[in-house]
Amino acid sequence: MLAFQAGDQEAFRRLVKRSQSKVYAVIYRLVPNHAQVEDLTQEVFLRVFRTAARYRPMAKFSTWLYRIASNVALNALRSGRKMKLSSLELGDADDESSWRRDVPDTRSAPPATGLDAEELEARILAAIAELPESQRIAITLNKFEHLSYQEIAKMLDCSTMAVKSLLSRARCNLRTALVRYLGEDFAEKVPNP
Amino acid sequence: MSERLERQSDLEQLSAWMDGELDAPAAEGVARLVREDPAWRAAWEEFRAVDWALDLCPPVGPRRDLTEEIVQAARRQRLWRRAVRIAAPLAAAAAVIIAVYFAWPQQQTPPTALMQTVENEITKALQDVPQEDQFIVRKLSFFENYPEVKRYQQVRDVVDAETLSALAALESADM
Repeated sequence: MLAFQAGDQEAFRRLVKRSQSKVYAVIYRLVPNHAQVEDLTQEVFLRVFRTAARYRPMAKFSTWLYRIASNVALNALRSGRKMKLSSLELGDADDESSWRRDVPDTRSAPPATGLDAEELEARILAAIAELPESQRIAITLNKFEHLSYQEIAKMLDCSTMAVKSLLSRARCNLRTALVRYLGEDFAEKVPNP
Repeated sequence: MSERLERQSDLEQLSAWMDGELDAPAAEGVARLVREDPAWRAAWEEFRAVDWALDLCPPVGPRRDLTEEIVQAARRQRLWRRAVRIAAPLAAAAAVIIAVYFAWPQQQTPPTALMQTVENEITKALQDVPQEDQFIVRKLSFFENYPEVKRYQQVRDVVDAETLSALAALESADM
């Protein structure tokens, strides 16, 4: 980013190449529609391009980038472009295989819920989508992007105590939603560590 | 309900412990409670199930490399801004030219030199602008009207000054 700020145009290309997956992933968790996420990812980088002169390396670049990404995603949601859960693209097998192929899948085998993997994922995504915005952002950044409480606090411009509270509430809300989606005994289906 | 952890502060401690965000003494305390207290144990199992479910979400990434698309969009955005910077002073110049034309409608001086001066400057300014963006400047009313300008000597200085000012701004904005 500093190289780009100093006038190195190729640095912007490198920055996009290196960071697009992270930006895309964060936006997708908030706006689960691939076509829209592509547009929003572009919007994030155009904002970076426009505001590069104002960037100050006070925090990690990724924190600044995540902040822009989540703002762009939330603006999209608020402006009524939110897709209904029924339009989640999980049902599109061809599409899914294409967007998954470059991302290493490190997940463990799903628990025996009686649902197939796609349906299970859809229900979990639906549960996440029900969370209040701030909880959804916090859980996305913590669980999927592995940001620490301190990094999330910087991004959301709040205290680490607030992040602690957000994540705890998010877990409680998800627990309630998953009971509804997966049944009262869903916790018992999880294998022991 | 005695076996259900309800207090928000307890749930926060448990959640933070699971995320590895507690210092050693606090983490030790929570670990002991999870081992010994059925309510803490039950809450831990539920949270663990939530984390497990989250872990089942598929990893997400772009369906294709967006780099070139984004870089081109950024380039178009920059050129658009540059073009607007050129267009604004030229539009002002056009207004002056038209005003002069209407003020001295009887003058018959041909505008050849003025046309050539402006055309040269615009051609230079547009050499980096993609074809699809050039219409911004080319569509200005200035270009539709300047062949009719009669008092070109008076307005040429204005146009030159405006054009040079626009180009100077362009140069300084060019990263």
